[in-house]
Amino acid sequence: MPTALLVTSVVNTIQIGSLYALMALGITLTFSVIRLPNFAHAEYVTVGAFAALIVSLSGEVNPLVIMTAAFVVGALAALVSHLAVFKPLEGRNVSLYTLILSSFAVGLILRYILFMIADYFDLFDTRIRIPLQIIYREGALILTNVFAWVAPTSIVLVILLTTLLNGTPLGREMRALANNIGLARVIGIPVERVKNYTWVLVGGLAGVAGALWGLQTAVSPLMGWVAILSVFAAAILGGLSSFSGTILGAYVVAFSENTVMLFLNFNFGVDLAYKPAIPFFIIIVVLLIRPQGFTELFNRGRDLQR
Amino acid sequence: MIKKTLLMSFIVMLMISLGAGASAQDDIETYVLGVVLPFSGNLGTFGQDFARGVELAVSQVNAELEAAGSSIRFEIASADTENTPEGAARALQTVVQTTGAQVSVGPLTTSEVLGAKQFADENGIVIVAPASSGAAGAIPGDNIYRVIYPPDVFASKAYANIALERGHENMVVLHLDDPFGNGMNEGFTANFQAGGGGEVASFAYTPGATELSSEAAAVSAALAGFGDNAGFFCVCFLSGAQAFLQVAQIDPILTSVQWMGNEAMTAAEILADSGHAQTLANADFITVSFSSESTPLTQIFVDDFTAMFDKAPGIFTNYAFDAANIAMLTMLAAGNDGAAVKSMLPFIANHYIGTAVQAFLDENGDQAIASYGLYMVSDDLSAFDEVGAYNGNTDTITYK
Amino acid sequence: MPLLELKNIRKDYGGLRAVDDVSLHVPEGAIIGLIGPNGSGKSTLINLIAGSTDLSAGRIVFDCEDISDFSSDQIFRRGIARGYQEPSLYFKMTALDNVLLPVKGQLGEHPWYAPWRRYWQAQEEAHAVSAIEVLEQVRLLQHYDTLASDLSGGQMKLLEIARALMGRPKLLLLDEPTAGVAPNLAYEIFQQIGRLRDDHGITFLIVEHRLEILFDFVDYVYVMHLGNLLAEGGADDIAAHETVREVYFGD
Repeated sequence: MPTALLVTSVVNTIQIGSLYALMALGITLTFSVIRLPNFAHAEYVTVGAFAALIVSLSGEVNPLVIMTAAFVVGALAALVSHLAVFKPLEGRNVSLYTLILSSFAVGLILRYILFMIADYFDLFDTRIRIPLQIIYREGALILTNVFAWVAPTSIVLVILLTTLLNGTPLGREMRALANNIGLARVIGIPVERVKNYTWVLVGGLAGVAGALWGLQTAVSPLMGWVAILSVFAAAILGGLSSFSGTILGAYVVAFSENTVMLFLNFNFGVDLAYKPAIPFFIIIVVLLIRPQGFTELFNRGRDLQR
Repeated sequence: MIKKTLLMSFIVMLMISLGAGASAQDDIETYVLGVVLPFSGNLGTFGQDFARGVELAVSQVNAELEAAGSSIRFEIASADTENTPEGAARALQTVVQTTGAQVSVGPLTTSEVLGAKQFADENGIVIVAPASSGAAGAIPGDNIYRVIYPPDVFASKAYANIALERGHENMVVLHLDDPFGNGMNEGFTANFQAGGGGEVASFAYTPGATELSSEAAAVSAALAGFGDNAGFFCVCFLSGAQAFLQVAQIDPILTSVQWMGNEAMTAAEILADSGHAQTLANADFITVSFSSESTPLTQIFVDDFTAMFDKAPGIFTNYAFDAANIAMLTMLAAGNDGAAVKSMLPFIANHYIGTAVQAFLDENGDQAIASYGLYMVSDDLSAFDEVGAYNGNTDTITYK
Repeated sequence: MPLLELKNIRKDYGGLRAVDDVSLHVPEGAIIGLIGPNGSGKSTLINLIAGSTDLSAGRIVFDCEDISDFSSDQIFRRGIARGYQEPSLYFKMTALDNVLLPVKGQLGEHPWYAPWRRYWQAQEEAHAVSAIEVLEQVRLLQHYDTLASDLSGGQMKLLEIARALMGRPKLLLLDEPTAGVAPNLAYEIFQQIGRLRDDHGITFLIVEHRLEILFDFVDYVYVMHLGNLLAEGGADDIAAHETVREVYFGD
């Protein structure tokens, strides 16, 4: 494998892995605090990307404004899907399977609403127009302004979310919900409010991830759905409960999809079209061999475990 | 309250639809024209525009039939292929089973057409495909007619000729992993090597992928491995082209070689991004596109379409218009019966001149007139200019 | 007017009547014992008061308010906190975090404010001070940074009480506070309870099996048997009560 290829693929791993981490943390958080493996999470990403796109089309906009718009709209989508669908369903004590299926349905509805919006405003295959520039170049190592936006923003948000969870009253209550929701109710934690806040955070971060994702590709109603398998693979590597495990999982998935895939392609001629099979493979292997993922590798006290 | 409102609106809808049914004259005979296109998925825009093209054709034919006092009227029954082969099969089946349609305009892509093929062949349904061109769809005797767009056997040969003419010793191909992309890659490789070309390194990517950085890195590494005099050929749909360009535009190797690519890369959305447009211009990007010559009908179609839908027709939309006309003319001649339509369609198609070009079908039921234009990015990056032509029937390239 | 009054409480589980027509009252500032053999309905009664289970019949009046149909968190907000037989704690959190969890109206609870530490730090520190005070009251101060799972059984019970105190409750329901606790520590737990009543005026309703300790601290005792109230009275009266001795001690 030539050095240039290795360097490029590692840069890609960092960029894509950071985005996966941002999305996968949301899945881990909903699974732990709300107890829902939420497949509609993909659509919060897409919703955020569309919000970013629409804002960016209005002219030269500061990327921070774009991110904020994506956060707000993503948070709104998540909160609405909770209040309109998941909360009433939980109130009826439906089974986990019903919840999972309903999350698929919510995702489908959101996706087709986006199709309608994209059709109406003629937004298919449109890009968030921030021109790509090279900001650093040293041999094979090339860093772009998109990289400079995507990787640090994701990493900062991931750190912020982790501190929020471990160092603030809200995080303390979210961890309490994740550990024992019945007890949380009895000792007077405002459970419903904390749940709403969790959805806001989860949706908002997914929205920002969508905006960042949209910086490097065309915005389409399917973009979140295409990425969801990789993101779930990352969350499953984190045992769906560990923050640090999920972050590590995100980079492992991105590394497998980029560096490992290219290594296999270059040295053994494995077709690049097998790339989408990698998250499948990871999910199956993890579930068969190590269902707890990376969970136990880290300080247990800090994780969102039951 | 909400339930009541919903129930009321449902009842109203039911009454309207019943009323509409009752008002239709008893002596009117309705022929159903299936429209099986991707309304969602990555090619949703194309599908929706194509459907509008069909709608225009149907409204015009119906107006003519009414003026002539005919008792026949055409009705559209459409279904979404979701841009997948399975979805296309399902959509065709739905349309046929719910309306008894015998003829369908669409599906769009070769993989969708091949997905719907088995159901069409087994049930005697005729597919008139407006834009499918993949070599894998060129099958004699089946129920698929590709009346406007010639199969890619011609285009892949044109690309091979250009590559050889440009002096490329070796080529790297990035292509969609579907019948269209694979067929183009195979055809190109065979022609390139038969013409004296060297190695071809091919990389496939999954349709629908939103992010192609690994693929770009692999292409770049392969080009670096070939050294000088290597060229690059990209076979993709629009979203893939954008994802690829987004990463390729900063790649030192990809930006130093010459590119060729299929016509999806000439969409306006690509030129809207100045970085992408500049990359293509610097790479002497050239595309071989079926050239729909202007006929007297071309401008009329654009005007009618704009009047009806308040927007200009998209790229290739007139192919759907032509395909719908050929389908309806055949049904008027042969009746509303799949077998009769299948038997008569080549005759009607061969005597039809529409908005694009005359149709003339080969033994596979595919367009045999293979006249292409060669296009490159204009100097001001605003459009693709025609720089030459390729005649597939004589296998000759001429530059302006 | 007693702080808590149960009027003809009944609870049916299918065909089984777990609590049958029980009436009792708990005066403010008292420590009331609730005893009886296993399965006599004591824990069910506690659950009914705390709102964890719905009543089949009867009324519950707390602080001049009918709380019969309230949910558990509404009841908690009115000032009734409870401890469990099995310690119910957040075992993966520190003792301090456990005590801080039930605090109402935390500024850092809102996602908008949570990232800005400056905004809620002062309040959090104030809460931490009162949490430390509460931990000190139950003699757990030196363990404030210990994970709850690393505490001993008795300390877990004390931590539960401390957490309940954070909500400034008027009434504390304790279900066997000394279960699984070493004898010397069990006595200490009751000493704490006595002190909390004396210093803070908190009322207690305690289910307990260790009668020898319980009788040293209670003001009044109710005895349950097969869902019914069998007897009531001061500790000495109950200890001498013949029927109680029969069903309870088997002599």
